[in-house]
Amino acid sequence: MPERNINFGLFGADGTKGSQAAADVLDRLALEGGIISPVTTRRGLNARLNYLTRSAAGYRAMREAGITVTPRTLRAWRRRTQTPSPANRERIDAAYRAYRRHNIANHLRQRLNAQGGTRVEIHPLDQTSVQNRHRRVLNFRRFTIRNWDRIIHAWDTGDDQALADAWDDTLPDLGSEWGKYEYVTAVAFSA
Amino acid sequence: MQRPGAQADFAAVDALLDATGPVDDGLPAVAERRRLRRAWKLTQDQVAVKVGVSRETVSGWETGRWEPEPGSKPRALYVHLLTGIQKRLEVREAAQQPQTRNDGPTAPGADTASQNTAHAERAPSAAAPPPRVPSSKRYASTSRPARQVRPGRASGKDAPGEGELFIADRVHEALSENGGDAEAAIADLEYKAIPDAMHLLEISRRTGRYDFTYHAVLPPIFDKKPGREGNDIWEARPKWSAPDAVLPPGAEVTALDVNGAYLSALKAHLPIGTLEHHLGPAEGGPAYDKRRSGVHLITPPDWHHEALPNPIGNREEPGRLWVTESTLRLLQRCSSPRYGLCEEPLIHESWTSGESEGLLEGLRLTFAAARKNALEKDDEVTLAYVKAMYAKFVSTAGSSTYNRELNRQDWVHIIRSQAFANLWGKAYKAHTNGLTVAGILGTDELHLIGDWQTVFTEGRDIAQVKIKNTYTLTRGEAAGA
Repeated sequence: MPERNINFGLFGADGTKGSQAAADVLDRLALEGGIISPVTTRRGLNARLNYLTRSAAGYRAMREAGITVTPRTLRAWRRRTQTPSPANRERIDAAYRAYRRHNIANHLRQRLNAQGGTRVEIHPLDQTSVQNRHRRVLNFRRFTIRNWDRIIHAWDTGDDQALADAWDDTLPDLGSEWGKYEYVTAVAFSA
Repeated sequence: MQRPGAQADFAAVDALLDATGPVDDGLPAVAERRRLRRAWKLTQDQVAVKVGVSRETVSGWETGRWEPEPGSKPRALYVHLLTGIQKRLEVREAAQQPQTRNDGPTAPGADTASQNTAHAERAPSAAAPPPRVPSSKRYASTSRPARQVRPGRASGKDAPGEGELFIADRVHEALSENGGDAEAAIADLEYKAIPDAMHLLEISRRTGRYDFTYHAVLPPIFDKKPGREGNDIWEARPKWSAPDAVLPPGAEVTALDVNGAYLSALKAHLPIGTLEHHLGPAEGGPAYDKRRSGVHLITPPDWHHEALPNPIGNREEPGRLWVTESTLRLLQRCSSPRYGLCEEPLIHESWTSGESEGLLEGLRLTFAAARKNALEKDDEVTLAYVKAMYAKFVSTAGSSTYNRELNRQDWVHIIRSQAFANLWGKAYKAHTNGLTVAGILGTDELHLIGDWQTVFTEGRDIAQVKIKNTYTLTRGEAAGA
């Protein structure tokens, strides 16, 4: 089957959508240079609040993440006289991730596009629970994505459907069997 | 009007014929050109830069696909280059002393200056006869030039590989860019060491049988924990000093440094693909497979030898631990009948993939050959460059922000613990030869009591050791260990 899967997992194959795996890698790349301490620690929380309250865009990111506290509470958070609730901590973390992702996207795109693109490795899906007669030969594959603009744009805006389309449109470079690699165990690349 | 004009035209044609035509400017035959260039250890790139054409053009000249345009400057330079090489080779053959500094009759007089300065003085001049005279002297071994002029032997076993030529090129380039200033050249080369090492890896893998994974997807045991803690993998770094009971008080201890410990450790059993999980033989899983490599959760065997360090390093916590393939193999060796030092380690869980000991072998051989050559020639620039390359390769092959092309944290752990295992092997060798091991620590430090020259040779080569310092035991305790 060369095209996209219609009913993935019908025979027991296990895997995630390649675009989702790619988004995970991009998230890791975006966040690994950022704040490492978890939001549950005082250090991690302070770092996130500092990052988010440094510009109007940061405040906007907090609003978009669902933080609806009054400016007075926010000031109290920053002055450490009051600590956010667990739910709000989660939202702060989500706001931080979204804001960081947005800030890093352009730079990441440049790095991925540099020097003729970036080599991507595809670790094929797991078919240990598939009956022998339905198993396919799936090899580890490697190819180069030369233009990352669409992928990064979709990832930055958080549009999963657009990201899936952009990712799948690169897959035909793998040859006529590209449909086998729509779902994967993992994809790996770096920038 | 027409007649004198035509006459002038004929005269012009005659003049043209006189001035041009197939002249013998001494350009060697097509078959000779490549042999000469290789005999002088020049790359096509180097020739192309000096002659002022592209590398492809030089390649075309050597294969006879096209000829250098008669009368052109590149041709004159090319002829000068090849005849220069010819002359020098003849001189070398005649004088059975290839190491003489002043062997080229056409070499400009820079003999009193140091090699590096000589180099810089010649580099800017485009019309300078054969480029790289000093450095090619440096890279030619004492016995090689005489052999190379014999046709058919140029591509012999000891001809430098592509990787070695690349290293020589980079050193040459850095030296000429910095006007022969060795320190500045070293700084430049070290700055570029990681991408250069990756390029050498690509070169060395061209004929490889396996296409390995560059970015391994690793299990959570490899995740670095927040803070300054590492991950769960125990690399078995030794930090051991012998207990007082085995140390003769007042003895003289020699601290030895093993040369190129990480370079030798590039020869390790490395996993090719992504690690897969399975249970170990102690938990009913498949038997240990020596064709696979990775990391293993083991219960280390008890260690009851006062005079020998424990192969798993100075771990104080009891119980299970994740060790790499190198440490596991060392423990298995210790438990084998030949050594008989301990019980066999129990393997509970494993993350492994098919292995090869040759994955980085080409790279290691390139580094080792360049290092050896540099030592012979006393070439500190190449030495520092090679050292920076392999050291930085090992330290950034994992999840480092300095090397984005390769992400094999599993390799880093395995290579490091291979270096520690190699060091343990040296300690064991000393022990079995009747020396007292006072301590081992770090990657390459071995403290010995006794006549160590009977076991190891001193020197800068990879198989040799160098003395770090000597000290006398005061209270029967190895210093630093």
